[in-house]
Amino acid sequence: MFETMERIKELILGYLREELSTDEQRELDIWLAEAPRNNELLTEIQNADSLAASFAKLDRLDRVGVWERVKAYSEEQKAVPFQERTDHIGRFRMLRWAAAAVVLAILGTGTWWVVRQQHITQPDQVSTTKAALHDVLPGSTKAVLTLSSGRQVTLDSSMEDTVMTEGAAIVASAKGKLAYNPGTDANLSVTYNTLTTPRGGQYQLTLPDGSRVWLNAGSSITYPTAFVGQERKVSITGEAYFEVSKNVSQPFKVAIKDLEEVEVLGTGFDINAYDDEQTIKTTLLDGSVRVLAGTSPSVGVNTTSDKLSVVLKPGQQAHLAVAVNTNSGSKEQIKVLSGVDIAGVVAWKNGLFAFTDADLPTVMRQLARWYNVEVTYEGNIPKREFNGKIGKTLTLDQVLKVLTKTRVHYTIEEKKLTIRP
Amino acid sequence: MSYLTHDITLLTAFQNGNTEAEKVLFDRFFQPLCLFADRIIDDLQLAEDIVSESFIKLIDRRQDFKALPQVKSFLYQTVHNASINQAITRQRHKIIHEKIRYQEEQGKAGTSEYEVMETEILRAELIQEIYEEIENLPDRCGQIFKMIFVEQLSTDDIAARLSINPQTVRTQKARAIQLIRTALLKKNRIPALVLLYGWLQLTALS
Repeated sequence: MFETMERIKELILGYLREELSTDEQRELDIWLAEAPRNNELLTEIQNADSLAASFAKLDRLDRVGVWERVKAYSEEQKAVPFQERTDHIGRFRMLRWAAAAVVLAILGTGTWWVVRQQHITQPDQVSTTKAALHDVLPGSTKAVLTLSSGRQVTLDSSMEDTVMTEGAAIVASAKGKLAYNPGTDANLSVTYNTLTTPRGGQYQLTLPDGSRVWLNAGSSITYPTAFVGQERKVSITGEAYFEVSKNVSQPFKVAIKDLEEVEVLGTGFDINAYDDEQTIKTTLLDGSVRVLAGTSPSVGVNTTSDKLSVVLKPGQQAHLAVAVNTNSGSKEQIKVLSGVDIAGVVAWKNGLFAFTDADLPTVMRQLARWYNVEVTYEGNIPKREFNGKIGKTLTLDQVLKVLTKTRVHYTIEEKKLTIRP
Repeated sequence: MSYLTHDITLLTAFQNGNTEAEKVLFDRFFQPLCLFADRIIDDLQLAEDIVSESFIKLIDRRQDFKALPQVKSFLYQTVHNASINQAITRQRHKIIHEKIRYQEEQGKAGTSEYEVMETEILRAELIQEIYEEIENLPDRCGQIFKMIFVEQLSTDDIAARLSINPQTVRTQKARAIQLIRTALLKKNRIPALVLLYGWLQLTALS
């Protein structure tokens, strides 16, 4: 069925572009004569009103939302057969980590997801010892929530779903995800919470306005429990990916200490601001953002001419160098790169490491955060370039085995990774 | 990500549980599948649910496929069956009516459901491709076309947004329709689009 259909599709598109040869036109005419509905289809495709109606439908689809559901299901599925695969190979077993596992339930016309506990199996005794000494298990969904009172709540795979009240908001917690819903009492005071992921952890957060944030390992985000006032302002350390809800009357801003501020005019973007990286990288996937060096003054005061700022388009990445010597009055340079590998930048939130022409130290810094290991180099740092994607659910040894195809030698001893020449 | 552009490696990666491969497949088929389902049940939200379920079933049967066309066939067939079931339970007899109509037209014992489905798949995929081309238009041109075709703004709204006369908008809409057939889908005809844009700008000044 599909081969002829592909051909007809190409013919029709060629026809619309007025690029058909005589033979091709004849082929199309034959198809058109075969059934009235064929002719009707061609007419419909050229009818602007009918196309417009279809386009409007396509525009209404929630592709991102549905993909997230499908992906979550897939990740849950993968956790099961992976166990069988490693048994078959005869290697040591892995500790499965509890992903944000979900189960599909269709209620009426809507579809919603219920969180389900994922089983964690214990590896057998022998391999545990072996694994502990010479390999490192990958990270998992875990984080620490610090409430305004200072009280800290540990969020990890072992917890049940909980609902908490915090200031003006009601906090719902499900494994791997934390969500704030605006509370009904608007008079309660607004307080600030901080969500922190340790090295080897990652977490997802939904802010009171519905905006979603994915936190990578060793990162944090501080945010108010309700967005009142003229702006929605949050601050981060480490790396986070944002999908911001549109609200033109209440602009969304992300601050990275006093080094950088990102003003959100659109939707999806990633900020990589780890302390051990040389530049703060802000990558835009969707919509539009303005990156400011330094911080903007309070709303109403207009001194934006003093600060360096750039507006990014999708596919662009801003680099802000973190100056070693900060003198007051020194200007930071913001460099803008275009045509950046977007998928590579956000691969981390999709369960992958992605490297493009990355040198060894860059690769090691990412691995160190996810596996929570200390990396040391014996002798000179080998000059290598890494390209490709590797799954984050692999153990450190498995990942390095893939990388050592480029002749890098290493040993793992407890939580220390040593690179040898 | 270049290895995922080849069908064989894409399928292999998908069977190995590669999330990127899953996403490529999803992005390729999600929209046309939704259009396809919506034609049967006339409910976009429900169509999305049906399509997401079909991807889940696909993931369950990951290892069963030897080639990409089998994946495509499975998805459309699954969506088709689920949509028909929903249509019947919700008593929307749109496609059944269509079948009857085609049968009458053909004057034969019956056009097979299979053939109707084929045309529907073709329709969904064509609309998807044309939509993508419009999405990829540069900047302002894309905005204007989107206003007309995707946002389906009323003539008055477009006139207000661009600060021009509503009659001008109507004329431009007619011209845009003309362009969609000739210049728009010709990948190298950017000058024509610039011409339209320039013309729109000029009329804005008048």
